[in-house]
Amino acid sequence: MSAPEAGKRVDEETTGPEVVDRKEDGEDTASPSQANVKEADEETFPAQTVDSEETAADETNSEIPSLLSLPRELLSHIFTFLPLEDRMRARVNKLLSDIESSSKYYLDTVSVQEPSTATISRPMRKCPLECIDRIADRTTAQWFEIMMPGSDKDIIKSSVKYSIFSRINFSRITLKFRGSFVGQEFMKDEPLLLNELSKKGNFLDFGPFLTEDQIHQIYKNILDGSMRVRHLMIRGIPTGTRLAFLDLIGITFVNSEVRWDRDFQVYKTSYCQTHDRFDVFAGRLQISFDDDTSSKYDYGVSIILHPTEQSKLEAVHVAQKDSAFRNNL
Amino acid sequence: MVLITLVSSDEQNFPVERELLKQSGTIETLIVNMNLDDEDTDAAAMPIPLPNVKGDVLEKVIQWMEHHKGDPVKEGDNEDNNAEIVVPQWDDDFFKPAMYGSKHLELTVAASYLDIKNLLTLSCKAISNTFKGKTGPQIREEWGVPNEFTPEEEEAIRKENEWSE
Repeated sequence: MSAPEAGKRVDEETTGPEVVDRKEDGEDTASPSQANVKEADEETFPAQTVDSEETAADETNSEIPSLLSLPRELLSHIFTFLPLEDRMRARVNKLLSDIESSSKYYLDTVSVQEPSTATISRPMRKCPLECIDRIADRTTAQWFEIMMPGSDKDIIKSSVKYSIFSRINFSRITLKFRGSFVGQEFMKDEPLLLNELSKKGNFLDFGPFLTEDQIHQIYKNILDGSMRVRHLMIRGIPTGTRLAFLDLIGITFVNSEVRWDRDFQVYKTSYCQTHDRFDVFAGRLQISFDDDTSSKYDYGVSIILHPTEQSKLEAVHVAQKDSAFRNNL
Repeated sequence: MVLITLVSSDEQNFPVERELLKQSGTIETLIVNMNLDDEDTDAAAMPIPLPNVKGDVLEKVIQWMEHHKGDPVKEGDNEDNNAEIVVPQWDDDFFKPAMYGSKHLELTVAASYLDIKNLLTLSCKAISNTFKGKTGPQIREEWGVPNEFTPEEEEAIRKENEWSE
């Protein structure tokens, strides 16, 4: 007998009488779930033995179509490959609808800025807010952007937006309010919110509604590593709030000069006469802020705890290049 | 070249190159448990029974593993990017003839049982691709899924899905 060829079936002629075809013996190994496989298909490819698997169809219908003969676990897995709109349309049956209602969604971005519509990606498209509300508990977004509505905190709290905001998971959140006063009121009324957001997201991107004490609280959360947050950005911050925060962490800023009672490097990287930007590095911490002498508001403050020394060095390199560019102007 | 013999549920024998079987977590575990990698063990005399996989399915699985010999095996069950995965042309051609029938579904079940992560991923992705852009009635017709909804439930879902059509 010649040596068997790899990957090819060794049939009865080459292996001898020990090879037994169970079908010829009349032993029916097909499970009940295979009985309804399309006739034409059975001719070319008899149904497989999956006796040990509980199939999804067993739970629903004795007239079992082929797709539903898959174990529920595999149907759930198949759903994870479908984008949101296709998964919604795939709810064509009670079982599949049930599978959708327990499946998780991973979206690049969820942006909720309009009253009744959200924008998601990828692929990018608009969908009703109710759809995001439906899946919020099961959704993780890389970047969640939300514009909170209204001028009355009760409206904010009762809205679908608030519900989505509190339930969705995210890595980065951009939180904005229509008017910084609304944001300040909202934050006052939700003293635990900043800690909750610091636990959920590693990048908090806020409008100008935080007080210096609230910024300081997040700063401490970033430094002590007990929460997920590693990056805070505040846009359009009042100059007074920015200076008060710097004061709280021991940085004094007088006449465009930074002083700090610890080892640090600072680079001045501004682009115009009225607007200076400062990048301060201490250990793996980077604090960047703007000083706009023409306005009561600065462009912003950013606090980053770099995950590695390498990423900090890369940020230092960028600051050095920008600083050299500025000095050559 | 070391060959290891796999035995399907219908007792067909398939001698397979040892290297290929690294793609299957289940078979890899069996090889370790049966000491088939030991020099002192006569691997040829110790076939591995696979009672949950029929011969014609196993033949397809081996064909797929041969094409993907040396591919890095997917680690973990990270679902974050599943919607972005693209089925390569060769695999699409491999799956297509059996799509919408039991053959592809059986291959998917076998990939799960044998713990061949890359095959399971691509096979499930290929099935999910058949849903893309289809309406509910089209999906039901193509996959033979019964409609158990009342007219009211059906209408509620249709309204919820209006934005996606």
